[in-house]
Amino acid sequence: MLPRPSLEALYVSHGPAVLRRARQLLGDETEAQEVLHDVFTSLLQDPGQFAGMSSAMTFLYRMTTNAALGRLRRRRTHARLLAADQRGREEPTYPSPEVLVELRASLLSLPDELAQVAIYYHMDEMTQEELAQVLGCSRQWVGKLLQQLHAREQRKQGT
Amino acid sequence: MRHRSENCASDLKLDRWLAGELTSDEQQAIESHVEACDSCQQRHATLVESRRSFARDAPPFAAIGQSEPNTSAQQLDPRSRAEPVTSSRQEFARRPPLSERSAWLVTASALAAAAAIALAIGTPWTPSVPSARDTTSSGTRTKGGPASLGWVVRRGEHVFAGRPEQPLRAGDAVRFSVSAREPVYVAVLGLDPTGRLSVYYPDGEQLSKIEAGRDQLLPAAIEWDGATGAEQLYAVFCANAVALAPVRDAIQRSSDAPALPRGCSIEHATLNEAAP
Repeated sequence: MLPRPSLEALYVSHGPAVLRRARQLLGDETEAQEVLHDVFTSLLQDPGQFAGMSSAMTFLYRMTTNAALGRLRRRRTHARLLAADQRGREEPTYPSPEVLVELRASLLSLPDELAQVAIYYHMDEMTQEELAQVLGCSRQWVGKLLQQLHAREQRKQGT
Repeated sequence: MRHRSENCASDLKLDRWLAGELTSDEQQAIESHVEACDSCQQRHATLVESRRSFARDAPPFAAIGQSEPNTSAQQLDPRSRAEPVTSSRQEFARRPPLSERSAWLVTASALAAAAAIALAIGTPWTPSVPSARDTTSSGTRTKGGPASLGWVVRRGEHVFAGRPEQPLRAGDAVRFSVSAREPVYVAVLGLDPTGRLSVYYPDGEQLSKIEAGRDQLLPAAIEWDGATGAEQLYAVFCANAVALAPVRDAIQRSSDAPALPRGCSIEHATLNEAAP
């Protein structure tokens, strides 16, 4: 349970990561700000969501990823993904814009669980153990999901 | 698409470090790695910069909840359990900074973005006095009270939960927090190696009321000035509003077994200084 003073402190300490990842996933500042707002408004309205089973950052990573994935799937055209990414940013982007555009495009064709794996593996560069913690599953299952992901990527590249 | 080696830290690990979630061992390990790894140094610098721009440009927390979210809680985390909220929301208290006391430089303004102090989630404060004593006729107890004290340390860009076994360094900013099972009146005092006692919280002449809640940051903040020797920290919790003077006098006379007003308990910890 997160009382309001703790939630305010959480916003300051963890909000930067939420906004940064939302930007990386969506390539659009307005939508990234909306994800930030949505994540913390949701926690404000229902603090019991965070039951403390994982670290707060892990929990917020998951919330941000789910919110961004939902928005990506609602986007109408691939062209918008490319156009959004061509706007200039003050902060250096990492991974590179090309990698992020390619990732976003691939997410639309992946089932939800594989899309999450792709984000955590390629964008956040998590270890398998971290992947297991974020997804709430075993390392063995993460290994299987990564195999499935790599197989799809190879098929797409025609290898 | 991956750039980092298997030994390098993921963004999740770096974010957790910057948000103060890592244990002291984990912090030391990641600090050592980042110092020696160009790629991780670069990534760390990028994340630090993004935190600075967030502090500068992001919407204030007060703006959160002003409008309905565009995404439902279920969509945000399909595994979330929508439990009913039972605790009351508390306003974040703002008090004027404390005046300078003893060898400490008290600078609440230096921690201004009091906001910039991250609350370490779920880290209890373990008293350094391991054994409990019987309740005396004055009602003093050394352990098992209705509340406990913690503290958060800000060291440069990093914020982490303070622990007695984790020495402080000159320049560290320390902010106290209280976890209470029920409303309680609180005072936080420090005894330096010369025997001088300072009151870190509250500002006024009576112990200050804290509502029930976990890890509630107090407005009191101090900066470790690098004086040698350990500082003994005392947190006094009372069921009623009592005057600060008798509490202060009791600890000054006998810090091992202070004769506190009835209905009060005390917890003690030691803030240690890192070797130069």
